[in-house]
Amino acid sequence: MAKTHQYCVAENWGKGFIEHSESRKIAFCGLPGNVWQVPAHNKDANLWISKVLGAVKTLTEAQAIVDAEINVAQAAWDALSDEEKSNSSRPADIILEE
Amino acid sequence: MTTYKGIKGFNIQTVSSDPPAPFIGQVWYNSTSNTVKYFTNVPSSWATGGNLGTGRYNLGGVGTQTAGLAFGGGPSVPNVGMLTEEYNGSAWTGGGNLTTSRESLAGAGTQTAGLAFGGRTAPPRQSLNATEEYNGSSWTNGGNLGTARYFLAGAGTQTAGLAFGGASPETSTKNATEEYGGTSWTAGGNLGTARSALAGAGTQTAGLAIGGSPGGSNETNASEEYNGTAWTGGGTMNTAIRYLAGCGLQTAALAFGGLGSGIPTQTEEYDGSSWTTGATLNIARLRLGGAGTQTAGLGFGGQAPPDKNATEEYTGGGPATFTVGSS
Repeated sequence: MAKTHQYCVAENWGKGFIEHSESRKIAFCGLPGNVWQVPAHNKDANLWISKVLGAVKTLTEAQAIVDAEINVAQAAWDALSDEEKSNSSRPADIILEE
Repeated sequence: MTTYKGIKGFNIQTVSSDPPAPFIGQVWYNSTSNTVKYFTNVPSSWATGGNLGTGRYNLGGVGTQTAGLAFGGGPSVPNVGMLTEEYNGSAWTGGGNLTTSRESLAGAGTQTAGLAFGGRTAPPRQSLNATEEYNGSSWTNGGNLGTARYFLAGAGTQTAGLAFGGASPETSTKNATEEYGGTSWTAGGNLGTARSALAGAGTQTAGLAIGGSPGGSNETNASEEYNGTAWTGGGTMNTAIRYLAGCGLQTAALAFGGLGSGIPTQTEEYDGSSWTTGATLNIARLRLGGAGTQTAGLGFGGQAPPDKNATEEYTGGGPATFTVGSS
């Protein structure tokens, strides 16, 4: 099955990291661990990854980074008091797609 | 070779200045700037703005896309519940600290005339009724809310504010509305549906309650409109959502982020009667702050996890002029 998404790790430096012109062309999804999901086989997405000096990751590598962040957040939530838990939701697992 | 005239039947018009009222699809050559330009419809979009100095969630937000204000929020350790930051359209800088540290609060007004109210303390939790007024550099105490609560929503201005909904440990959700006159709060009409973790938009006499939780781990897609006296049912959102942010007016509102059934990136626009889908946030998050208008919105902070310092700027869709060769 052809890949739909590709992944990279890049730190959002703020203004100019994602321009409106890029956002209109590319379906971005910022994920825990500075992981970014963008379309695969897409010239605009490839140019953006180059612009932000993104470190390209395989699906497995990206999933491991996201899982590590989620695990930390879930452990922190599990340690909350019942009162605190009642006002929030346990961070959900995020399953990345090819 | 294919030419523009061969396709369209006429040449590109040469003008010394851009046409004042171009039509969709119009192309022209500007001889002054030596550029070819065109006028077309563009979709709405989010772009990253300057990052908050301190990542946080459950914060308050008011102002505009180029003059925003972020205040309070969690996490409790280290205590960021007193911090204020001001946005100038590209970067955040520190402002005066809130007198009362808090998170899950609401706000109204502008960067130089802001209003913060309600919220809750760090653990052990206590609902707050404290109100503070910001003058662009420091916060001073205002009149207390009649009903202490957190996860409430706000709208209006510093001298004509509106507080509605929320929760407290005693009751999971509240339907109470209060109106601020610059010194004190007075009771307004109750929300039709008690709810917390909702978003607000509009003014004291034309307010909008958006989404939220009617109780437990549930979310609603209902909106309600306030006329200064009473709430009536508004349009139904496409997605039931809580812990979202909102901005704009009752007839031109923007709702974004939050916790629902999917990844929290959704944006919806309200025109006074119905909600339509806008561009998705680039960074999924909930419990974020919001400011601005439907066509120039600002989203900042929130939880993904981890806690976020990211800011995004929303530009509404519509016709715009572009230069060939530029993005």
